[in-house]
Amino acid sequence: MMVLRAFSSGLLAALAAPKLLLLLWCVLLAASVPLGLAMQQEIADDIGASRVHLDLRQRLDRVWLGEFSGRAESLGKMLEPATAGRVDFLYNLDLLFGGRLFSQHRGLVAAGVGYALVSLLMLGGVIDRFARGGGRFVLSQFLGACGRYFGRLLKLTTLSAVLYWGVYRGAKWVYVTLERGVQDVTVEATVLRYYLLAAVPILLLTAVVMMVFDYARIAAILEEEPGTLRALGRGLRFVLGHPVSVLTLAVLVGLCVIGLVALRTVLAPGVGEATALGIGLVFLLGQLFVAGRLALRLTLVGAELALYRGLR
Amino acid sequence: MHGMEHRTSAFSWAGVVLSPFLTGALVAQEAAPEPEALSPRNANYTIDVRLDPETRMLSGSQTLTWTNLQQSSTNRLWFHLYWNAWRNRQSTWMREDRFRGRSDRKDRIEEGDWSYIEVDSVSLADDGTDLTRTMYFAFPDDRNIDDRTVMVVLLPTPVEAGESIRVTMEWHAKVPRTFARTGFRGDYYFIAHWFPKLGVFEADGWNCHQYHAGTEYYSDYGVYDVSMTVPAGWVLGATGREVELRDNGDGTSTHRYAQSDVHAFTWTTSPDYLVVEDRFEHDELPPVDIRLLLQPEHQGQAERHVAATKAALEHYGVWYGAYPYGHVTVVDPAYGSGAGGMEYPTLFTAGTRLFSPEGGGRPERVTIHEAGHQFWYGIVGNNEFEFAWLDEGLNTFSTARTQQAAFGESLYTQRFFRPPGIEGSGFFALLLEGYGYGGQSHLNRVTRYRPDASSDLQATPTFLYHPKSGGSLSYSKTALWLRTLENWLGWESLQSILSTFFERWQFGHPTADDFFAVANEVTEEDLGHFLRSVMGSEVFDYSVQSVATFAVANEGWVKQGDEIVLLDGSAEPADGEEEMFRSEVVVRRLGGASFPVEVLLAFEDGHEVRHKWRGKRRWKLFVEEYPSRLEYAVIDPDGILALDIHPSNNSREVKSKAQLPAWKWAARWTVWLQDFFSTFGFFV
Ligand SMILES: [Zn+2]
Repeated sequence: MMVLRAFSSGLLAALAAPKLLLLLWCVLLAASVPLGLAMQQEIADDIGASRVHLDLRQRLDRVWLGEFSGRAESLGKMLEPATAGRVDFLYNLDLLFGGRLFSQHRGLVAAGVGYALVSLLMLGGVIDRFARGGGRFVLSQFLGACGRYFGRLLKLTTLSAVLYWGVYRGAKWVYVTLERGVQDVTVEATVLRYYLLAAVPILLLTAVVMMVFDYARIAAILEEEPGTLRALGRGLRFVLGHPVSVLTLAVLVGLCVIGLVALRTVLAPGVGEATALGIGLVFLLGQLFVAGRLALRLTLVGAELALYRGLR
Repeated sequence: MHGMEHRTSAFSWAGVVLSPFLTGALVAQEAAPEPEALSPRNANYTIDVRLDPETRMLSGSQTLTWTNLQQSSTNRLWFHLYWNAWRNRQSTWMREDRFRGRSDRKDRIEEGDWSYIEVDSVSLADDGTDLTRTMYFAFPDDRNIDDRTVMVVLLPTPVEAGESIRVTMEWHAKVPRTFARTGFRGDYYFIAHWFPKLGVFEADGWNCHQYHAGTEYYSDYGVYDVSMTVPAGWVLGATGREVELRDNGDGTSTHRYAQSDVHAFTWTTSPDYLVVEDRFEHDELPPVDIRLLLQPEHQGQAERHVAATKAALEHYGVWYGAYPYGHVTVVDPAYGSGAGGMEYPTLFTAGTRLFSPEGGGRPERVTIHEAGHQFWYGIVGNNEFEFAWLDEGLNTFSTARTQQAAFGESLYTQRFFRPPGIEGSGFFALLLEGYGYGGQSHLNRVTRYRPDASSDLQATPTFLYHPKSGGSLSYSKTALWLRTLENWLGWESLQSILSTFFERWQFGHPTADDFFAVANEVTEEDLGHFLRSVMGSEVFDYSVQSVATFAVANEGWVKQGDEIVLLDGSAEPADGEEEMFRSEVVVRRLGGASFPVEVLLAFEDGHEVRHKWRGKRRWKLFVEEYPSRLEYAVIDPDGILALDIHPSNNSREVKSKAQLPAWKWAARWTVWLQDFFSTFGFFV
């Protein structure tokens, strides 16, 4: 019951903070739109006055795409069916799980890391606002809180990055060993089963790291705990003390993300004739999806905070 | 012509070799009298081989009967020992494989993964003369003294023109973990190019190349009678048909298969195969029994394998000539066995995945391609060491045509779930719409060909191509220039070339020149210039450099009557006089190769003008005066020149219309990017 109460309180907190959501969304927009414009420019320059535009209105023509990728110096190489369609979430998730997120286009990875840092900066403000709450949203107050907690959060996050790296190395070792172990298995379904099974402890471990640090961040702000290791200790104690609640809550939010992705996949229009309206619609739906993800992120923070307060 | 000459002399041999199963009581199936020999049948093998799964060893004994079809004599026999390619890292195959940069196994070949073949004894079958001590290894291609893929045996007396010789060999071989589609995975065995195999004695001597990473095979046609002993109860598939199955009572069974008029013999065995049987029937073509050896987990894809096989038998059969063997075995290789997508006479491997959604083109494409090799490779047996493009190129072209005709364009498949450290593509698949070729899927070959377009002269013997880029020439470039020929001459004309070539060279060994001779003979066009161009390494790349259109202004000094007057351009055209526009189009030849092309000028009022251009000079200006503005110009508007490496520069509009589609894809990409960034947000 506590979990559900925490979840709904998180959801309410997220819904009650449209300005916060707007701010997060603007940050994401600010990070991506300039690159999107650069991509638009690169595509338009490449098409030039060619009549290949007729094909490209209909589809991401693969004859042209082959030429474009060959000529593209930078961003253009990142245009492919998976990054221009409705499977983008799955594709990125696979990059993350496969440990290939950081081996993508360098500029984009750098921007991604930058975005993560800004998100971290704002996380301090978000937790602070959710924790001490109430009142009108004042940007300067929010930013003040962001600045106040950034140092603590950064230390915690650096530590978590080291652990994630360890999990990744371990996962890689597991899979390479497993691949060797199944080298005489002739049934793909069996191999797939092993691989999926191996993913369970890896995902669980990842989730534990994620949750321990989530609660450590909450502790660092809620309880004004400036010590990195002490905050981590609190997070760890909390997760170990209430493993079922903590996990259930995370699964609940995870299911919401899956639901959102499913909804978006169903709603997303297919690739049709290019019209200004269609393009706008696709982008708008994309923004709703993105905003939905951000709202769920806020929900998670709010819910974890509520759970921490309720069970501590 | 070459193929025809030998038939009479070879025919008597067929009788000798076939006699065991014509007269013997052991013939399991109805022993229809062997029809007239289709091929010279000058390299005939009777082989006994035993597979020991415990040690992963083959032990074999074989009798080769060879007839010298040449005018000269020889006192040597040259043999391929293909499995020595994977004996160690010093072989030519392994060395070249490193240049290919795609072998993910190079760093972790374990002890049991290597292979070898050792010939224990060689003797003359008739009098028992032992030739074992005369064996030596040869390295005709690269002087790599560590290579053991070619073995020579010295004969006590030369084999004169028209004479025959019978040689007996004992050998044993270690089955590798798969290299080049050959080997084992668990209880799955795919045994190809596995026995000491004679090279081809040609007018200028033995043609017996070392095994190269980028090339395939070459052998004479003959009659094969092969007995394979494997664990009892295992399913076995092989070239030919089973003529006898014997239970040895010791936990093994011996499967005896026979096939005439083929140039190789391949087999596979596994306890797991699911056997599916079907039959191809067609009004104009002889029936073919299809035996599909399927991985049980692909049971749901059986019909797709069969349909693709039938599509190839039908289209190739109608276009080029009938498949004469009456049966074909389709092998769906075990997961991860690396044996997919390879052709052998009357048997080939397809290849699919657990999740292969219908419409994604897999396993259809690979099945059509390998079934198609029964025609280009199997029936027309060119030397793949030297002219790989003859079979791979003709077949790649035909594959695309067949797939388009039978299944249409396939959708883009995006695969997911590739765990860290795992190579290859993901396990799950989704089909994506909106990312196709607009019915021009054969142009996917342009993308593959472009980066390697100038890597080698196409006329270079295949084994001398760079191992990494050679495939782009053999497969993609050839498919594209055949498509160009089709567009240029018309399908009927190209079909006539290909079917004549097929008819003339079935069961023979054509060279590039033989193909060109047929092409020139069958068509009325002079193909010489084109064929010389494509055999080189120059590329075709035409472009529209600039388009301009402007009102023909009444400006400057103009003669009016007897007077020369200066006009300032402000005068409107007189009543009844149309405003005229001058349009200028500059086209360029950016590539080294040339081809006659058309240039289309299209005007805003819908009017079109076509000019012919021989395409020799580096650039040309076309000017039109017409009462409407030019809208766009296209060089090669019908897309005849499929070889053009940059199709997108073949057209140009007066006003660029790039913005809208650029927005379309950039908008979608931006949403992906936001999600990509959010994925980094996971870490905080
Ligand atoms: Zn092929």
